Amino acid sequence: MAQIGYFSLLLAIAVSIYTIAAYIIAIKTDNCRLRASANGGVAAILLLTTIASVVLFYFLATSDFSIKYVYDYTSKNLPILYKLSAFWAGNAGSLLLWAWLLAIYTAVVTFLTRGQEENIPYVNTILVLNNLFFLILLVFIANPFTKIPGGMSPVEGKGLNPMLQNPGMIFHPVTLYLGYVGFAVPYAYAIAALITKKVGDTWIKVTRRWTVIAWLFLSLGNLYGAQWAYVELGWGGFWAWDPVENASFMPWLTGTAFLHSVMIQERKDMLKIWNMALIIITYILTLFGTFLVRSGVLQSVHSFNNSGLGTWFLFFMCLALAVSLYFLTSRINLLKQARQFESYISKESSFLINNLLLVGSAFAILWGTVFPLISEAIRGVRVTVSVPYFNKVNAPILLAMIFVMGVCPLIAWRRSSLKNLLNNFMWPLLLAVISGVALYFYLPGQELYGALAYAINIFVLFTIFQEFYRGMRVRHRATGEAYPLVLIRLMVRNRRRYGGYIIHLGIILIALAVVGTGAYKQEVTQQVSVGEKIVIDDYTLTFNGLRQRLEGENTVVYADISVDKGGTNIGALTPENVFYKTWDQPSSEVAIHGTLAEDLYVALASWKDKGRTATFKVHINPLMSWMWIGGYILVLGTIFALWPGRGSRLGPKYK
Amino acid sequence: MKRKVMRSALVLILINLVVVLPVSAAEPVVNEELFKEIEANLMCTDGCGMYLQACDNATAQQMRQEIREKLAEGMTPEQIYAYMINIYGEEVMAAPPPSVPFNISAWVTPFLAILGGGLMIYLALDKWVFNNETSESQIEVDDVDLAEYEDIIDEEIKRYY
Repeated sequence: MAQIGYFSLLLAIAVSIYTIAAYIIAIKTDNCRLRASANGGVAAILLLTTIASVVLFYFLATSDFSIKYVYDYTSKNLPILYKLSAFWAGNAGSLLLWAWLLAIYTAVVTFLTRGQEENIPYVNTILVLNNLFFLILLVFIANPFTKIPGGMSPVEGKGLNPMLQNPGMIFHPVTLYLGYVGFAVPYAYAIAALITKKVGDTWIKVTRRWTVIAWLFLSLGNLYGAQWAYVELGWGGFWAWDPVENASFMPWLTGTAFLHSVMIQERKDMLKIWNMALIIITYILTLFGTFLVRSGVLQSVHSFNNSGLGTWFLFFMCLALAVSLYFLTSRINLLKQARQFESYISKESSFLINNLLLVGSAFAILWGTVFPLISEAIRGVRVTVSVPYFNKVNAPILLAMIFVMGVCPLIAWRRSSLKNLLNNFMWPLLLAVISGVALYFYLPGQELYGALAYAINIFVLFTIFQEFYRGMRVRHRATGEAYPLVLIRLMVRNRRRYGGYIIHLGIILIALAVVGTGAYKQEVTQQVSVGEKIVIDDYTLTFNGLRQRLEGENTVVYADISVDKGGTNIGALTPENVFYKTWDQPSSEVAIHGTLAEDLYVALASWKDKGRTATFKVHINPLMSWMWIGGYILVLGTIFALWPGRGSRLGPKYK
Repeated sequence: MKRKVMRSALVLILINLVVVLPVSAAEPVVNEELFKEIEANLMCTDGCGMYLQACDNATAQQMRQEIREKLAEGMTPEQIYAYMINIYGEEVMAAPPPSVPFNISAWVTPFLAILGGGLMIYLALDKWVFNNETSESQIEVDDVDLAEYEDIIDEEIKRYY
């Protein structure tokens, strides 16, 4: 069975080479039959990678420990969902996931994209070349079907790292990879446009949905990762600016910049060079993430063991960058823009500022991530760049970006007068200032930065509401329809615009949660004996004792804590430590009492005296729930914006 | 059943030995705000790559104990950082200490890059902004009104023509 998996991958390499050659020859000779054959090659690659993936799933599900990968990452007692999601727990499996997803995307591009048949050979050549790289790594360096030496089949596996035994393991890696791999498609279309010298905005229109979908999955991947870290690590935070976390945030930032700046190309045929550069950078950054995880150059909790693949990924990244830059520079004359900007104050110029801040933030994160290497190379001294640096550097940049997010919709395309600008700004700004001042005095600690951050977010919130109100008012005046109907028709007939506003709303809710937990978090670490209380804000936690239970083969030690808020009992919390048969370190399972206002978050740190005394870490994280609510709204907004039909058309193009 | 109970008891004993040892020493009473501030600026040093606040392994707990002891001895945060750097190297700090001149480049480079980008945008806008004499470009178009009225016109055209 292992041979089937391995030979599927080997055959996939052969078919990939044939497919690439067939496409190139078909392009040169305009041979339709050869092109169709190459399309068949794409389908065959999908079939072969699917077979390999199914075989690995089978081994994982049946706990066949004769396969080293299964032995390294699973155990007999592991729940079936975690056995299957161990597929991407290790280096080789995650590479296979990448190859499989890329094969799926390539097949969808080939067989489901309408009206772009002449581009398919170019696009697919690039995509299949990408996939060939991953297949070569799988077959010759990181084979997921390697057997245990000596033909042994251990009776039990090493087990899955307890930190990975969380529902996040099912969603986070898959959505992240769907995002990473998804960006290969607009990248391939961009390079194909450069190769064919058809660098108008057709390639952008074709790839818009792909870009948005990849962006959506990357957003979800980041959010699932944050949620997982929040409930699993027990420190009350959700983002530790780990190098690999940064590597998934950077392409999200540049991808967001790309999504916005292509609107200028769609409307005004401008920024063509910049858009090409952005999608190239975004794609390279997705490869950078996989490089970091596998190279061992930087310490990260996400790292696979140093597999020697780092050099290969570095080589592939440099090759992709070199080829991309070659085509970009050799076609640069074709990308010169036809139009001008009419005004310093216009939506177009605000998009430029938006891009500056998004790409600036990505650069700041990249700089901080690689600075330890730079320091070691220049001074011979390794430094660490972690949470304090990234928070201090990124906070002002991202706050400015959020402010621009509020300003931009208020400005007209081409030109805005100062008078109109002030009219549009006045109410949201006024309400934001009043809210900011009120929050500064009302919230504990009188945090100036926190209040300012809240005020900026509230400003953007009000601008979004204002946009809905303005649109509804216009439609109601013109049609006389009732306001609920007006709202529905307004949104349905202009899905791109209002879908975008809903997405912005989701981002603001997430940002509010970030500000709340960053500036107004309360925490206490306290040792208490049975019967004693921990008081934090208006919560009183009474430690009733430590208990123990068996869960399968694992031993769970949990604390029984009664919680009162403002003198009223609101229930019990049971933070746990889980001790695994196959793992030395226990895992911490926090207990959370979440409301819309805040999360009460309790972790069991340690205990002594046979459990009569225990130490707890207790946090109050304001507005934490809004991060997840904002995430759902972001997803809904994206689906709404993408929904096909009349309301998804572009705005006017200016002659 | 007996075997299960004995195994559980054994596990609990082992758990107590493993978990209790690092915190069995009495913790000195210190200024908690200062302790948290110092903890927030340090990394766990056992190679896990985790921020000290986020790490709960034996090394992290030992480091916290050390910080408390140094605070109880009357050391200032700067002295504690210097002590930690002396033992573990600059890597123990969670951000490059700006006291080292080269490390200042870590902090200022992103802002310089953004300022540089801003300057480029300004210069580009200066070059691109079109001093247009035609009246068309003087008109400010309200996108919201335009979008709505265009829709209504489209509907009426479909209905009546």
